[in-house]
Amino acid sequence: MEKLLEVKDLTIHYDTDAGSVEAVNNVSFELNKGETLGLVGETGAGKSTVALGIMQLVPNPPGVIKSGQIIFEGKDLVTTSEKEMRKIRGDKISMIFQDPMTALNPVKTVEDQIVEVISLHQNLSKKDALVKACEMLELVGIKAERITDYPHQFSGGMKQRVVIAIALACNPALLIADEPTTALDVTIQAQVIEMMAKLKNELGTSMILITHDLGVVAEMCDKVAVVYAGEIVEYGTLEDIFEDPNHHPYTVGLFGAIPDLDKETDRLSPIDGLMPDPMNLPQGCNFSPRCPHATEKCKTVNPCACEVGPGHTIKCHLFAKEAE
Amino acid sequence: MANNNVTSAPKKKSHGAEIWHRFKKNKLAVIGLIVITIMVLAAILAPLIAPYGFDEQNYSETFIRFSPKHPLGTDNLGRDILSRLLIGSRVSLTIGFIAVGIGLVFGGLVGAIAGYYGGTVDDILMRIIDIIMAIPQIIFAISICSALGPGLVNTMIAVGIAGAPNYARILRSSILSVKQQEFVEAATAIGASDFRIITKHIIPNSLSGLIVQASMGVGRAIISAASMSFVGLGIQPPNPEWGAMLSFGRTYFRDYGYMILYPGLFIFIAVLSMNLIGDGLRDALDPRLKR
Repeated sequence: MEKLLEVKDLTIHYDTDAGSVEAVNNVSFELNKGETLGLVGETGAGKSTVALGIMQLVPNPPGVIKSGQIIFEGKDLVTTSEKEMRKIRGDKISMIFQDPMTALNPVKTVEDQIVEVISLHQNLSKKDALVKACEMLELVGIKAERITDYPHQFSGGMKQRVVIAIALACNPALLIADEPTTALDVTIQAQVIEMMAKLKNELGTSMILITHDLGVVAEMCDKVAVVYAGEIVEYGTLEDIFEDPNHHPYTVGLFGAIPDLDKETDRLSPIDGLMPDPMNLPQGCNFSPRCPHATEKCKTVNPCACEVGPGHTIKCHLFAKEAE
Repeated sequence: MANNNVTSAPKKKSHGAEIWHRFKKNKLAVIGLIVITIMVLAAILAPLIAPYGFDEQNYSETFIRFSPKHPLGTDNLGRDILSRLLIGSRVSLTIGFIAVGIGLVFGGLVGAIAGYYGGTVDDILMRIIDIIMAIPQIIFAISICSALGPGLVNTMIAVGIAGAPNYARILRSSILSVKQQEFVEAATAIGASDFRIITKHIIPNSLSGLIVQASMGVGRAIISAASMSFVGLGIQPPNPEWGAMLSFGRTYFRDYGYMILYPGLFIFIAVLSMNLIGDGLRDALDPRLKR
């Protein structure tokens, strides 16, 4: 399979007056054409910052890409000029935002907004761009005649469909979906997920799906990266994460926190503690303060990623021992 | 692509037509528009419809309160007030609109840049605006005007620049809140340039405060221009202008109140109509307030 995107040792910090917020540390992953990668992790783990990093939209200041490469179609996006990036955004790489209520401009019609992205990247006449926009709208399951409506005239789920239509309008090679279903209710979530999966397959788009919903991951992803405190703690195929017995303690905790339909429990079982302050990460393993298996070594030495199976890596001392 | 039978786009009302459609529903705004239209037409046609010349003096007919020949009376020099008001409306309305236009362009540009880029750019521009605002508006206008010399164009420039800081501040503050919203980030994510984002996404979302301010600004500009005339820097007598007529009538207003009543009434009607239009326009431009 052809490699589309390769992120190597990406480190992004937010340098504020109060100190440096280490949002993303040495994150590496690869994405092939047509594949979907799920970035899973709790709030503040740095998932969105990775996405913004790929788009080169990390707010600067205070955000700085300290090191690393983002190689997209053979080109390093970190060193690409802003002018070049503008051509890539929306055309080759596009993004679906978390909240469809605010991701659309309230004073412009849906038509204006879909046509905008088409006319920015494709040399189409006004009329052709409009026809294309109508096609996109039908593609996401909205009648073309509603194209002259304003965003507030659509429901939340339909707005997210419009956002998806805008993102897919130029047939991008890579689609980054930043928690696309978080703001939607559960029935609509299912519809939107199903539609995204269908369109992705039809158009052959690669996708990075950022979510904290493991159910969504199981539904859509080929590969999964579990992100904790700015690091990928476990990385593997969907089967590795969901079926393999070897897991990072954090992944175990994540799965443990999901209520089980078959078991009757009064309380959910969350992972104890909170994520460390990214301004002040612990020495050694970032997860050690919350880890039930933490040893003295975990508190002093930062583990490296150990391969427990082909393509399945876990960043934990427990597995380093096994490998030894 | 999924559906190839979409060959023609649905019929669409143009943007302007839609705004007009919504504007029409606001009866008061329509009345304001009609009144302003009549005033503008009267100003354009003033030399034709004014019964007398603006500087035609008649010492046998001074201080007439009302007569069939002079429906709005005459002043201390026997000049017909109606004619002077009509001719004067040309100057007053021009100053009102153009001064606000100048203020909007300068102030809006500074405010938009300061608000969008923030940081040092914002600090520098806003401190300059603060300095200008520290000087009372009228004194500032007077100093510009005395530097440039009296006259219609210079008055407009002076009044316009003096009003610009207001617009800059209003646009900046609303841009600061609009630019935080996700659709601005979304626009960046589809590859739009800064210029495009400012003009197509941010400014249309920040206009409402500015429109109201501008519509009130027309009235304020007319009054400011009057003050300029009063200190001898604005329109030079005998050319009539509403504000100037108001201030010159002041000497006689205990006995002949009508001399300031009519110019005042004209200013009042023009300002009120502009405010009504501004209100209607704000609502019409915001699609969320539809229906």
